[in-house]
Amino acid sequence: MNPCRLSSQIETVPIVFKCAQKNARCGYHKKYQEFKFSNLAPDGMCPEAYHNLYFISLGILFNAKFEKKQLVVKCPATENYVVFKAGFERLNLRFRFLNVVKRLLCKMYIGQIYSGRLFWEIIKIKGKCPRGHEIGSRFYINKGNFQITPNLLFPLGEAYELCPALFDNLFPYLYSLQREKHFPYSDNSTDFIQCPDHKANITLEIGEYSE
Amino acid sequence: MSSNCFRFENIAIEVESVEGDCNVGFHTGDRFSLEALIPKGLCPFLYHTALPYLAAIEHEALFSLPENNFIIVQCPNPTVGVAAKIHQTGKDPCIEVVSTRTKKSDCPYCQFKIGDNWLISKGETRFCSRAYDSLFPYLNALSSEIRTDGIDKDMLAVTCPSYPNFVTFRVERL
Repeated sequence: MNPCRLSSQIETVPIVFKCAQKNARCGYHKKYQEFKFSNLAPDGMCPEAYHNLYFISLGILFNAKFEKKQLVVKCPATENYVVFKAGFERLNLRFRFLNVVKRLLCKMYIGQIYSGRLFWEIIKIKGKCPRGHEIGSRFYINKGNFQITPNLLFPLGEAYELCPALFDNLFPYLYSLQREKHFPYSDNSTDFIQCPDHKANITLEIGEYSE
Repeated sequence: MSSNCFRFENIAIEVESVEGDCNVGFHTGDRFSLEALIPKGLCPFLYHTALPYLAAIEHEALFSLPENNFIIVQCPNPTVGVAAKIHQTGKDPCIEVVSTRTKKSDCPYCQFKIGDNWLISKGETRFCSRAYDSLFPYLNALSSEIRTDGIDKDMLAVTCPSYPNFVTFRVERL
């Protein structure tokens, strides 16, 4: 079985992820904000591939020095697959403006100041990708949003999506969530998962999607 | 986390093929139990969460001040909430438990004590951490199949994220 089929099955599940707890500054999530499956990964990106890309992306955003070959990442599929390469784009005006604000407030607000925009570009597609990805497509990882108040974020002109770190934490359990209706660690009570950030402690509550 | 989260004994990982050279030294036919993938005694969930941070700090990422560079991550289960410090000890990245604000839970890793630590790159596990990160969602998927007695997906084939040389793993229930 090809791993692509797992997430294509999950996407049809009527699940919504609600930000039930937020203990400190976070530029990605407002308290009580809800995410559907389609908001989890950057627009149009395969979640399977995104999970693989995050492993390296986190380090790049914190100025890690990876070897060039580590900046080329393959999706987990076996026969037909997609290959991505990391790169940096010049910051747009909003990002540069935000950097000025961050520098002015650096004593009050300790946040990352990005020198460029991390993207992953598709450089090879073998066979047919069920997502319809195309060579040359770019996907951005760091949204760089700025929190003004817990429920007021300063967006940089892009759609809200789940924080990549929280996505990385959540993705491995999506399939079992669909199958068992709860996380493997839960006791069938209300289901929660928390982000890796010990201070922000963003906690998602899983609920059923209704519209 | 319940003791039934993972039924380790029921899953095997086998190297199905190796495209080009593998730096880690995997060979076609190598077989691993799940215990071999994870540093001994470390929670597989916490390990997966920590992996990108371990890779980052191993490659000189700066999370805080250079003289005291570390970041704290926590396990995904809010009712357990074990927090671990990711830092360098010599040349090796290290996971060290710094908080066990554990509530009442039947998590088998609840007995972690502050100061428990694992050095990652020196023989704690011979399995490639990057490959483990890629495999983890599918181990969990298959684990879920086993828990629910699913019969439709007994085997998954997944590759590691390297390119152009990569390893294909077969994950199957025993």
